[in-house]
Amino acid sequence: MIKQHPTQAVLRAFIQGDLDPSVAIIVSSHIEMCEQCQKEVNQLTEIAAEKAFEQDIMDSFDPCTHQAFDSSLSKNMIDEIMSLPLDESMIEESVPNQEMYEDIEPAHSEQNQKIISHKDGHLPLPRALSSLDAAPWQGVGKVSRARFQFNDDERRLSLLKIDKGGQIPQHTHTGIEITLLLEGSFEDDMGTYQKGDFIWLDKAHTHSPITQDGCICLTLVSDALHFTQGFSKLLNPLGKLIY
Amino acid sequence: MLTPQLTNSSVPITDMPIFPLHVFLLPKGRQKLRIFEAKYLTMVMASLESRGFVIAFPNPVKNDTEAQESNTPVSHWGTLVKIVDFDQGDDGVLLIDVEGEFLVSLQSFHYQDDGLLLSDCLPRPHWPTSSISEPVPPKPILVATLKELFYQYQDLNLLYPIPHFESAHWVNARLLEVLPVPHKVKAHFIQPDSLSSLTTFLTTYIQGNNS
Amino acid sequence: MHTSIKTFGKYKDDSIATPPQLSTELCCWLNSVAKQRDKKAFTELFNFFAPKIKRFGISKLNNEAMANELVQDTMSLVWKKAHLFEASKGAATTWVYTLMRNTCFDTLRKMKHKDNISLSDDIWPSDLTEELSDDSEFKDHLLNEKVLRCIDSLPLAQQSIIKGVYYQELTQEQLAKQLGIPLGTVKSRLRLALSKLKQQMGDRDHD
Repeated sequence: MIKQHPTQAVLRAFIQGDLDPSVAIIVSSHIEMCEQCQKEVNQLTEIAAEKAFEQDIMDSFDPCTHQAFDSSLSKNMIDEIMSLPLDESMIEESVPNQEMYEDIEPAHSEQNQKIISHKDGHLPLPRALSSLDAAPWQGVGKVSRARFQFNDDERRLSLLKIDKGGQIPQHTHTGIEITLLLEGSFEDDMGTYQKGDFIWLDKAHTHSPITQDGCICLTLVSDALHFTQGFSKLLNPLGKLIY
Repeated sequence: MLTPQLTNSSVPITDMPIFPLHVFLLPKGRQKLRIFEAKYLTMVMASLESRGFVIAFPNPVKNDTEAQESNTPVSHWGTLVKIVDFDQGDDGVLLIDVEGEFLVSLQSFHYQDDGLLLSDCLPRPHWPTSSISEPVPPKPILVATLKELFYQYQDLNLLYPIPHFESAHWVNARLLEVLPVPHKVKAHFIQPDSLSSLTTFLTTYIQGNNS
Repeated sequence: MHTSIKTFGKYKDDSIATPPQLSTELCCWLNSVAKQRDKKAFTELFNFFAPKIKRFGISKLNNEAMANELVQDTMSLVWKKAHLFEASKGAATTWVYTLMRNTCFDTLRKMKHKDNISLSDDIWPSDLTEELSDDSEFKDHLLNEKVLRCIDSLPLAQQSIIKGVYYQELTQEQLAKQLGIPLGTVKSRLRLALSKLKQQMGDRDHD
C-alpha cells in the first residue's frame, strides 16, 4: 500500500508542464506505480486539456495567435509529418497501454520497459526512464548507485541500491532530495516506506535511511548533501558519489 | 614509533586492495592522497577497519587488450600503507595521509567487480636495522638537505609531526622519495642490502663528485 | 488570415461549438488517421491543435522557434500514435494534451542540456579540471588509471610537467633552485650518481 504521494500542488504542476523535467520524470515514475495518483492525474489532465484546447476555443480565432501560425508554415509541417515513416510494429500493436498514457517520453514509449540488472537480480524500471541510459553500478560499502546520464547542472538522477542492513549516514541537504522506492523497504526517523512511496525532502529535513531487507530507489538530489554526525564527516566527500 | 613493522612471515596476505599510483613510498614514508573515485573510497573505508592497502607503481599500458594478457597492471612489489590521518579538502574531496608500513611482493592479480585491483602480498624485507636503540647516523650533508627541503616545502613538513633526522634509514628514505630520480632507479633501493649504496648515490647526487 | 478558419470544416460551420460535438469530431479524425492514415483528417486535427499547442509552448518555453518545434513534435506523435488513442479511456483533447505536455518536458530537457558533455562516470571531471587548472604547487594527488594512462601516452616532456604538478616529488628545477646550482649541474650529478650506482651494483638483477 503506497502511503506517500506527491502533493496536489506537485501533481498539478506536473500536469501543467511546470515541473523541472528531472522532477517530472520521478513524479511520472510514481504515477505509473500508483493507482490513486493515476486517477487524480487523469482528472487533472482533463481539466487542463479543456482549458488548453476547449474552454477558450474562441481565443484561437484571435488574429494574433492565428497569424503567428501562418498557413505556409502549417502546410510545410503537415507535409513533413505525413511523410514520416511509420513503424509497422506500432500500427499492429493493438493494445494501447495505460502507462504510455502518462509516459513522460511518448517519443520512446514503443520501446519495451527497460530492465536493469544489479548484483542481486533484475528490476523493471518505470517507463518514464526507458529512454535514459544508466551508468554502471558503483559501490560504496553497502550502498551502490547507477547514475542516469541525465545530469543537469543542479540535479542528479540515480538508482540507489542499499543492501540488507545498509544505511546512509545521517545527512541534510542544501537542496532537495526526492526518493521513489522501486523495490524493498526502508525506514528513517519519520517512518517506514514501501514500494511506490514518493518522499520529497528539503533542507529542513535530516534523515538517515536504513534498510532491513535491502531496497532499490530512484533518487533525485539537488546540490550537495551534508552528513551531520561525527565520523560521518569522513563520509562527506561520499555524498556526491552516493547520489 | 621507530619499531619496524616488518614481519618476515612467509604466509601471503590474500586479496589486498592495490592502489596503482606513480608514487614511490618506503616504510615510514608518508603521502597525502586525494580520494575521489568510488572504488578507492570503498577501499579506504574498508582499510580503516582492517589491514590497509598497497600502493604500487602502475606499469605503462600500451594497448589495453595486449597489456592485460602479457603484463601485470602494476609492479611486482608495493608498499603496504596504513591511514594515519584524514581531512576534507576545500573542494570537498576526501584527503588521507598514508604511511608506509612495510614492502610487499605482489602476486596473482585480479579485479573486483567494481574495478578495484586485488593481489596476494608477501612481506619482503627491507634495510636491516642492526639496533633499534642506536639508529645508524645519517650523513650530515643529507640531513641538512632534507631539513632544508622540509623548511622550503611546508606540505612535506606537515606530513611528519615527528621527523627522525637522527636516523640514516629515515633520512635516506625520505630524500629518495622526494628527489627527482627516475622510478626505475629508486626501485633499486628496495633491496635489503642497498642502504649504503643509497647513501653514496644521494651524496653524489646532492654534492657532486667529492664523497 | 481568416482563410485558415475554413479548415475547421464542419466545426466552424456550426459557429457555436459545444464540447460534445467537438469531442466526437476529434475522435472521428483521430480514428481516420489511425485506420486509413487519412491526410485530410490529420490536416483538420493539425489546424485545430497547432495554434493552441504553440500558445502552450510559448508560455512554457519562452521561445517561438521552440514552440514551433513543440507543435511539430507533438503533431508527429499524433500522426504516428493515433492508433493508441482509445475514446473509451478519455477525451481526445486529454490524450493530445498528455502527448504535448510530455513532449514539452522533453524539449525543456533538451534545451537545458544542449551543451552538456556527458563524461565517463569513472572520472570525476570537476575534480580533475580543478586540479589541472591549478598552477599552484599541488603535492597531494591521486589519479585513476585512466588518467595515468593518458599521462603515460604523452610525450616525455609534457609528462614530466604534469607529474611535477601531481606527484610528491621535486622537479629537477626545484632541486636546482634548492641546491643553488644550475639545472645542467643537477642533471650531470644525477648521471654521475647513476654511473656510480651501476658500478656498485654490478650486473645484479634488480627486481
